[in-house]
Amino acid sequence: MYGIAQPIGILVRMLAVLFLVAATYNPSGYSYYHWAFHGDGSYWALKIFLGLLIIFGYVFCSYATWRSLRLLLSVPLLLLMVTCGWLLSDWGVLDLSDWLQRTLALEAGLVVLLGTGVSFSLIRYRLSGQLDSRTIT
Amino acid sequence: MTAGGILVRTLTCFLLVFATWNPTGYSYISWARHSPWATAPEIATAGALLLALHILFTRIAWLSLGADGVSAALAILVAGLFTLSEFGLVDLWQRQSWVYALLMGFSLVLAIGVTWSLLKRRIVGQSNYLSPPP
Repeated sequence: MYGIAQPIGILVRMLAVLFLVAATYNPSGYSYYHWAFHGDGSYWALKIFLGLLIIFGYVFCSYATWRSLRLLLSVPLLLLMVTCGWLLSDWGVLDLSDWLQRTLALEAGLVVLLGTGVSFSLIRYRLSGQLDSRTIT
Repeated sequence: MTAGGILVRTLTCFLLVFATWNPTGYSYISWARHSPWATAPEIATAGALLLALHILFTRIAWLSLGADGVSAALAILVAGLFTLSEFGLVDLWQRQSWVYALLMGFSLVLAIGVTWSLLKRRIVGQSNYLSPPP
C-alpha cells in the first residue's frame, strides 16, 4: 500500500499543472500560444493534435477541481490568493503595475488553484477518511 | 488511524479555534482589532487563510457527524462539563469557565468530526463515501 497525499505527490501534481499552464502560455515568447498563433503556418496537424491534448488537460483538471473544491472551498482559496497578492505587493515583492509580474502572478494563481483542485480529494481522504467516489453504473 | 494521528488532528483543531479567538488577548481577532490600517494586507491574508480552514474543517465535521452526531457529541461534552463541575474541577459560576468551555467544546466537536470517518473505518470497517461531494 502506497501513501496517499504525501507532500512529494502533491508537489508532482503541482509541477504537472505548472507544466501545462506554462506550456500553453508564458511571457517568454516560447509557448504553444506563440508557436501556434504567431508563428508560420507549418505543422498544422501537429498543432491541432497538441492543442487537443492541452484542451483535454484543462478539462480534466477543471473537472477534478470543481468536483473536489466546489464553490464552498474554491471561493475561499481564490480569496486567499487575492489577499496574498495584495500582501506581496504591499511588501514590495510584487509590482502589479508591471505587465510581466502581473501575468506571472495570474499564471501562478491558476497553477495553485488547479494544482490544489487536482490534489484535494486525496488530501481530504488522508485528513478525514471521507472518500470521493463516483458511481459509474 | 493511530493515536498520534488523532492527537495531531485534535491539536490542529484546538490551534485553529484558539488562534481565531481566545480571551487572553493574543488571537487573530484581537490582533486585527488593535492593529493600524497599514497592516491591512497581513490581516486580510491571515483572515482568508483562517476562513478557508474553518470552512474546510466545519464541512468535514458536519458531513461525517450530521445533525444527530453533533447533538450526541454536544450532549456527551455538556454532561462531561457538569461532571467536572461536580468534582469541583471547574467553577461554572465564573464567566471565564463558560468561555473556555465553549471554545474547547467547539474544538472538540471539530476534532471528533475530522477523526470520526477514520475511526469508524478502523473500528467497524465502514467507510464514508461522498458521492457526489456536496
